[in-house]
Amino acid sequence: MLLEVKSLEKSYTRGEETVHALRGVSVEIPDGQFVSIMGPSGSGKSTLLHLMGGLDLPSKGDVILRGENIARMNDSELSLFRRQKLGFIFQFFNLLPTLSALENVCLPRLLGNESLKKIEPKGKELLSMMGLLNRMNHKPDQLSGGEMQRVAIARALISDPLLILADEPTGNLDTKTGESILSLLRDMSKSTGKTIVMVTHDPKAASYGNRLLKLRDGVLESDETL
Amino acid sequence: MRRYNLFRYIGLRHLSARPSRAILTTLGVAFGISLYVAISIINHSTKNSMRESIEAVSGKARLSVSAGVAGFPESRLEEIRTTPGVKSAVPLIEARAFFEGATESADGLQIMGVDLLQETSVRTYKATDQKIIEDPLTFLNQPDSIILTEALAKKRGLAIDSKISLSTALGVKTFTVRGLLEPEGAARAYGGSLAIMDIDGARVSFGKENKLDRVDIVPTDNAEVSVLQTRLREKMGPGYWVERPESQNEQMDKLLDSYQIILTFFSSLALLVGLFLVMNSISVSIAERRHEIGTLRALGAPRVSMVTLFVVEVFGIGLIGSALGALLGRFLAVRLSTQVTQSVAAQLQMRIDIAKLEFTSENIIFTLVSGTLSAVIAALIPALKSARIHPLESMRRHSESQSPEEENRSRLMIIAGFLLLVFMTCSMILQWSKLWIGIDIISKGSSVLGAALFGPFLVFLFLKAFRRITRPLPFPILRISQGNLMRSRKRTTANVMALMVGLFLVMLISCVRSSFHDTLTNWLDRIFVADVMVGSNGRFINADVQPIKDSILPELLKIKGIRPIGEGHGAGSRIVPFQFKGAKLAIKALDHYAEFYEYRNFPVVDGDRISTARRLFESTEPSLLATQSFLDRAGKKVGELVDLETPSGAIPFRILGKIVDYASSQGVIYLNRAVYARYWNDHLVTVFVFSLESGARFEDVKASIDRELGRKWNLVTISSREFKDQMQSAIERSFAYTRAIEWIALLVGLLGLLNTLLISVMERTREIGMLRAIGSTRFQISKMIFFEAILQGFFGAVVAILLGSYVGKLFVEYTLSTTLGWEIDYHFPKEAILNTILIGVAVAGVAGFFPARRAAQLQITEALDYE
Repeated sequence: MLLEVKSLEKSYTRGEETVHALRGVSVEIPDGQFVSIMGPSGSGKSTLLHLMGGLDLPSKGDVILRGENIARMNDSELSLFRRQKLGFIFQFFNLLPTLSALENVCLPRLLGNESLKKIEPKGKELLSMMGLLNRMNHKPDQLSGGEMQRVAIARALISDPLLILADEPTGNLDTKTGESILSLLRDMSKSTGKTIVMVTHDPKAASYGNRLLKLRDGVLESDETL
Repeated sequence: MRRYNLFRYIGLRHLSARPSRAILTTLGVAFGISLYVAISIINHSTKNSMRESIEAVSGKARLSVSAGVAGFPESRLEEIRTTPGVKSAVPLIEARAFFEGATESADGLQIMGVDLLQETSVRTYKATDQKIIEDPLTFLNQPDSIILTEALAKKRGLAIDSKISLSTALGVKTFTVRGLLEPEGAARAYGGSLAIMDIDGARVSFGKENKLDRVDIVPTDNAEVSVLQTRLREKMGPGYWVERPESQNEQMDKLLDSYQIILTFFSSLALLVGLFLVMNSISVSIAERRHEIGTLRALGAPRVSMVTLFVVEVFGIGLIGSALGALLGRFLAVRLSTQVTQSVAAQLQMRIDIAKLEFTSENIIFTLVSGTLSAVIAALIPALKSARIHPLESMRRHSESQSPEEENRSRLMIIAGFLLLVFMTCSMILQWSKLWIGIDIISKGSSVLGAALFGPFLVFLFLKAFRRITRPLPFPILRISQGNLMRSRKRTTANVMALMVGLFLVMLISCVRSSFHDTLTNWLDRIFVADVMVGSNGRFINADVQPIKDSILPELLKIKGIRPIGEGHGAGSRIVPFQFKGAKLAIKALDHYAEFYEYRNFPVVDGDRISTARRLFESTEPSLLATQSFLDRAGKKVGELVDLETPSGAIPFRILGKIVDYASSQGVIYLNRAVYARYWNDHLVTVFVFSLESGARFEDVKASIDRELGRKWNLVTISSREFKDQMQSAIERSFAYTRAIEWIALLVGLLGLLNTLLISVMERTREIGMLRAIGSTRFQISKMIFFEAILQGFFGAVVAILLGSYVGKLFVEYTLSTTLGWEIDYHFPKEAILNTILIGVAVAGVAGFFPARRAAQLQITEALDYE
């Protein structure tokens, strides 16, 4: 099993009120799945994704990725783990404006003690896969929204991660571009066998995955295969 | 390697993508450190020049015997020569002379009257025409001979055989330049403002017949210097100083230290302001890059890498800034050295010539290391803060309102600022620095940091009140601007801090300057009633004039229109430095039959002023009046006896009363001139003062003095108004260098505000896009940003006035009085209120202009899409 989420709970305080974002969610995700997580606002879907990606720590429960419990890791271990084992795709792309497309793609490995020269071939290959090789020297502000998100997808793949986490990857794109990004993710999952967990509020986007988890009020409401 | 990558791909790119930000921060460091460097160079060079002068004049001598400015009888030379252990004892006359018509100290030169036949056993000289030294008989056969340094001759366009007119104790005398000295040996002393004369000629010209100022001693090869020193001390008795050149250096260093500490205080405040700017810039830069930090953290950059990233960025900025600061400091040192040395000379009653400004490679390395390290230390707090940013938190949309944690932190900052000000207050009032000197530095740092942390809280209080007052007014943009400032406390705090610390320093300096100025001028107005002052060439206000023989007095009294002051017939006074327990005091010896001041104006504190002053001249036993700093140094009270070491031995003087006088911060004593002349065997007068007869015009009296006596004696006659004006301008000049500090502080504040305002416009790009989308014009947007800047400038200035004058009051009343030994009354600088507010608004206006223009030029669609 690639990912095991066990009795995950997350609560935090907002003013004087305690908010229970997740109330004991358990789920297992094997290799190669493209899992969509849906739910209304406040259902806890983004919180679950953040906990899966080690961006946040649970109040209770465990997140075990390939046998390693990331809920028990300290900050340095988590940083290393994210860099080597996970790929992130964000709604607002989060590309660094001062770096070129190619450098943005290579960034996780640049952070990991490798020279650009060494990473460059892989970065170019990924950009080529995304159809952006001719844009590799462009800065983010010279790219369209769809192009920026494709660069972000390439960046998520640069470390050859076990798991790719996508947070509303089409939320900031028009419908047509969004569909092309989703197709890209689906094809990539099929061709590379990568496991993808995607949070979305759009049923059409969710349908690109092969499994759908629905959350409501911090509880896993349904788990269906598509 | 990883951290190197982070810096290479993130740090460097960020710096090159936003060069203006990097430049602003670098300039902040450069300006901040430049003043510190300049003052360090001047302080260091002053001490070195003084040391070099002492060493150059001492030559091979290991000991010297002296007895103060008045000198001692020539007859004692033989006693010195015959002391066992003395190989050679070389006499010297030291005097100040002025070029004819001189009104400034800079027009003076140091005269060394030497016995050329013996001189070479102590000092070396190298003349362009070496015969003059090797065969001095030619020189001695011509009594008008004088030797100048090449530097001085070049400065005044003189050559061998040129004639020069110098004012002497006997009036103007013409000398012929017989030789020029190359800058070696003794000619290096006094910055080259030196002339050599034959000892006998010098004695006559400067009123020192049968006297010597100093004897330099070269011991025999087997003599123990310390044993010889003790032997000579015992032989010469009280009133004589037998010193090693090193101890003269130490004394000089001690004297200069007390004054230089104030210079260093102001310059280190400027450095603190510069470092504060670095801290602020990095904090704001981190706030601006939160999103980027979040992305990097999410992608796996560990905390330590984030700290390293910012530290390395600041290291680069600090290094370049320090290098620029070093260059700028060198330039400022050249510009400020004259002002600073004049100021030091006026305070310490000594002539200071800086031979050359020294900025060695060690100094450069020290500047680079200390500047860079200071910048890195200043950046550490915000850098560590950046490491604590959680990836999720930083990727969320930037919120302008504060989270409960941030609110708590803000409250803690305000409390910390307040506590720092309380600490500073206690440490100054209770003089904690006496327990440990480090407290002094911490206390000064606390004043700046406390004001920076607590000040914005006060600004918010004012803004709140202002909003209430202006609410009914029909100015919607002003309302929006105020709302923006109140809403974004973090941003407003950063902006206000940047400007306020600069203005705070301006106000603090104004307080010190105005207190000095008002205290001295009030004192002068109160005690000084004479209409006319007559003296020889030089600078009246610090008594750096050529003294003249008192035999001129009867001739002066014949001048029509002048009237003796008070009950007497005219007043001569002798003002000389005097060594007492290692300090350099001032003696003011006043004529017994016609006092320098009227009795009723004598600056006596406590008791009956008139009878105390009168007793000084009528008492049969030697008596004196003294300042508190003298009483402290002597450990005596009014009524007690104190021994003064005179050339006639140790004489007990009765302390009749306490006076206030600012002639020397180390202490001043007033003596009856007849008593002084008796014990010091000095009949010269520094200055004469008179009143005008009723109906007489000053211009007529001056013309008469010039016509009858002026040419012969080279007299200078000035009115009391001119004297007071000179004194005022001298005080102004004493503080001229503080203007540079103010400018630097303001420049640093301007850069800081410009930096934070630019960032705040960038942070609000989306909001500005929205405002434009709903119909705001470009002009309204720029007006809004501009108003915000002006409001922050105005209220920042108001708070700077409040805090600056508070800290200034404490500084003047406690620190300054203790450090300088003068009782300075605090005077609130009323004129500085308007200035500070105008400067604050102007600086804010300039700083707000570019961001306002930038905001107005934003494209709506781009602004709305801005992430």
